Parts: sequence; structure tokens; C-alpha cells
Amino acid sequence: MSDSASPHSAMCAQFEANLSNFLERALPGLEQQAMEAHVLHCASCSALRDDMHAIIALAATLPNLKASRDLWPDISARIDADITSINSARNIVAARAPRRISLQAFGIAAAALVMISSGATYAFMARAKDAAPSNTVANVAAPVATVPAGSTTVRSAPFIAVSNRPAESTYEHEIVALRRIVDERLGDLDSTTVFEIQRNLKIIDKAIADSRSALIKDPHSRFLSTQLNRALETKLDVLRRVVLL
Amino acid sequence: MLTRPVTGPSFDNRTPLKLVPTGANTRPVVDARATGQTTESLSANVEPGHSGDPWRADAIEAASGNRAAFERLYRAHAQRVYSICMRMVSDRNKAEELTQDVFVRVWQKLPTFRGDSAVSTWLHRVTVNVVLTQQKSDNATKNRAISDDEAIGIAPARAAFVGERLDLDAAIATLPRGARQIFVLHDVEGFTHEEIGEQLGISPGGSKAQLHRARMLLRQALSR
Repeated sequence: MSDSASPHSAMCAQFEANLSNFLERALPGLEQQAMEAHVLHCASCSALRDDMHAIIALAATLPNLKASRDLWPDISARIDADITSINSARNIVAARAPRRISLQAFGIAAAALVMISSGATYAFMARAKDAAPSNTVANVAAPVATVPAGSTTVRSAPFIAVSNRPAESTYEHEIVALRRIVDERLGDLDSTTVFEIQRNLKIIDKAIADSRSALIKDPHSRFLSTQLNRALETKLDVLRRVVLL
Repeated sequence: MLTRPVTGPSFDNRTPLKLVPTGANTRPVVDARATGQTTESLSANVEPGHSGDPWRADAIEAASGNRAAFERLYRAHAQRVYSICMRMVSDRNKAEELTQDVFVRVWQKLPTFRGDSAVSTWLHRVTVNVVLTQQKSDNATKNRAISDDEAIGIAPARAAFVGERLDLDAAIATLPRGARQIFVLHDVEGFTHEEIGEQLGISPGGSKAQLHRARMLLRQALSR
């Protein structure tokens, strides 16, 4: 290659640095043209371009790989285990008459979750504000103490990408399974009960979402992780109670 | 992506780059990636639904608990799912475990599949999510976060492919984990940098940078 200070080697360095964009024709017009002109007269850059094309083309045609064995029997067994545990719960609630249930316990659990989640979010936001004064986070309010009784205005929990902790995956598996049963179960309950259950579940989901948000920003916080676990446990508890109504 | 013949270009005075397809039966390129259709899957087709997705009918059946329909989905997609897992983790045992996890997750999630993409496309996204979730979980267990730069510098996984010449699969297995993931997701599986960034929690620019590094490392490995 030419002397490192020469325009040619500078172009080579620029070509390599912008290679991905050049290959995708994503460079600004004049720059793309300059790179194309350079590669016409530079053997090493021309070879680099050709090698990249070859690698990209071959990557796109890689054949499928085969596992060492048929995985279906294990998959089927795991699915069977999942169905068995759900059916056991279904049998318990097979024949129930519609009735109204006192949902004070659900309301108390949901209100407690709001406090826990708000406290977790407040702690994180306060810590973030202290650590990075240049952040736009400011004027964080203290957590709300209670959920107004009889309130019907509950915001939907924003979708938050699932955390990647093994314990949370376990919770979610059971939540998904119980939720299916609960959705069927709600048809057996009177409308007021259904409304209260759904309202409280929304409150709990909001608390879970808040905890997840905080945990994404501070993934190593044991405190936040514990709060999220508690929120998930509360949701499981509520769902189990509904299943057993 | 430009289509060029896979030849052995020469550069400087070194031997030409040798690129060897890793198997006699290369899978179809664009069509397979876009639709998930393979010869095997077409031969096992049920009558397509109105959307034209050959797997929609089986997906609907499987969502309502039809195990035979779900097994058909498994048989048609298992190799592709396993391939993604294997190329991303470069560990056969782990890839087989992850493949099982994927299909169990698919079974659980099928009732919520809205059909706004092809079944194959959705299934492949689930695969990537399962792999990345597991890897992030492994990182959390080790109590450290992997930054972009750190991912590039992680010691490469032991190659799981054996051959006299280093083929592309073997070369991919030698990449640092972050670079390997992004190369597999972008160049092998066709995800965009935006999609990769969203899944890995990095910027599209970071994804491009790691892809460039992966390609350069592969070039080095394949030119030995």
C-alpha cells in the first residue's frame, strides 16, 4: 500500500471506513461516485469490495443446519406438561354459578402495587437525576400513596418489552396460562365483578410496566428487580384467586 | 444486496479468497427468507388460506390445540430455527435447547398471533427473541452488561464445525459474539439494522459498525 500520508492511502482508508454504506449505496451521491471512481483504479480496494460481495452473497445462501437428533419428542413432552398443569386448574373451576364476589382484596393488592412501583420508579428517577445532572429528568414527584376508591379511570399499561430475567420468564409462563383460564372464567361472573377484576388487573399491569421501565434503565438494581418480582407475584396471586372463584 | 458470482477474487499478492458452500443443498435465497417456503414445506402443504401464506391453516389449527398441525409446522421450520440458533450461539447443545424453547414458546404464543406477517416470518422473529433473551439472561446471571465495544472484544466461541478448509460457517463461529450475532441477523437472516438495533438494544449505527467488523474478520479468516 502507498505511503500513509498520500491521498491514495487516505482514500483507501476512507473507502474501508465507509465500505458498508458504499455496498448498500447509502452514501451521499458525490461521495458514492468518488468511492466508485477510486475503486476502479485501486486494486486493493477493488479486491476488498469483491471479497465483501462474495461474503454477503455466500451468507445469503448458507444452507440450513440439522440438529443431531429429532427434537419433536422433547418439545411435545414439554407441551404436554404445560397442558396438564392448566387442565388441573380448569377442572377445579369447571361448574360455577355466576356470583358477585367481594373484591376488596384485589383492590388492596392493586393499591399496594401502585405504592411499590411508584416508590421504585421514584428511587430510580431520583438516583438518575443525581447521577446525571444534564438529564432532562426533573421535578420528579413523590409517589402517590393510594388509588382512589371506586375510580374507573385507569390508564392502560404501556407495552414494555419483556425483561430477560429467568425468574420473570417463569412468571410470565404461568401468567399466560392463568390468563387464558381467567378469560374463560370471566364469562361465568357478573358484569360488576368482571369490571372490578379487569380494573385491578390494569392497575397491576401498570405497576409491572413501570417497574420494567425502571429496570431497563438500571438493570443491575436488586431493589428494582425485587419490586418487579413482587408485582408479578401479585398479578399471579390475583389471577389464581379469580381462577378459584 | 448485489448478486455477483461467488468467485475467488485476488488481492495484493495473496491467494484468492476461497469460499466454499457448506453443503450440497443450498437453501433458496430470497424467496425462502421472505416466505419460509422450502421444497419440504411445499410438499407438506395444506391448502393455503386466503392470505396466500401456506402455513396459515396449520397455524390456525395449532392455535386451537391441533398437535398434528403444530408438528407439521415444526417439521417444516425446525431446520431453519435450529440454524439461526446454532449460528448465533455456536454451541450445538445450547442450540438444540434453544430450538425446543422456540417451539414451546410458539405453541404458547400461537393463539395471540394476529397474522399480520407470514407464519414463517413471525416464527423466525420469535427465534431471534428467544436466543437474545437467553443470552441476556446469561449475561445477567454473570452480573455484567455487554456494551457494544465489549461485545466486539469477547473471546470467540469455539468453532463447532470441522473441515479441512475454513468455510463460512466455521469462520462465523470464530467471530466475537456481538459481531457474530449481527452478521447472522443481517447478512444471513436479512434483518435490517433498525430491527437488529431494536432487538439488541443498540443503535443502527452500532449495528452497522459491528457488521463491518464482522465482515472484515471473516475476510481475514477466509483468506488464510
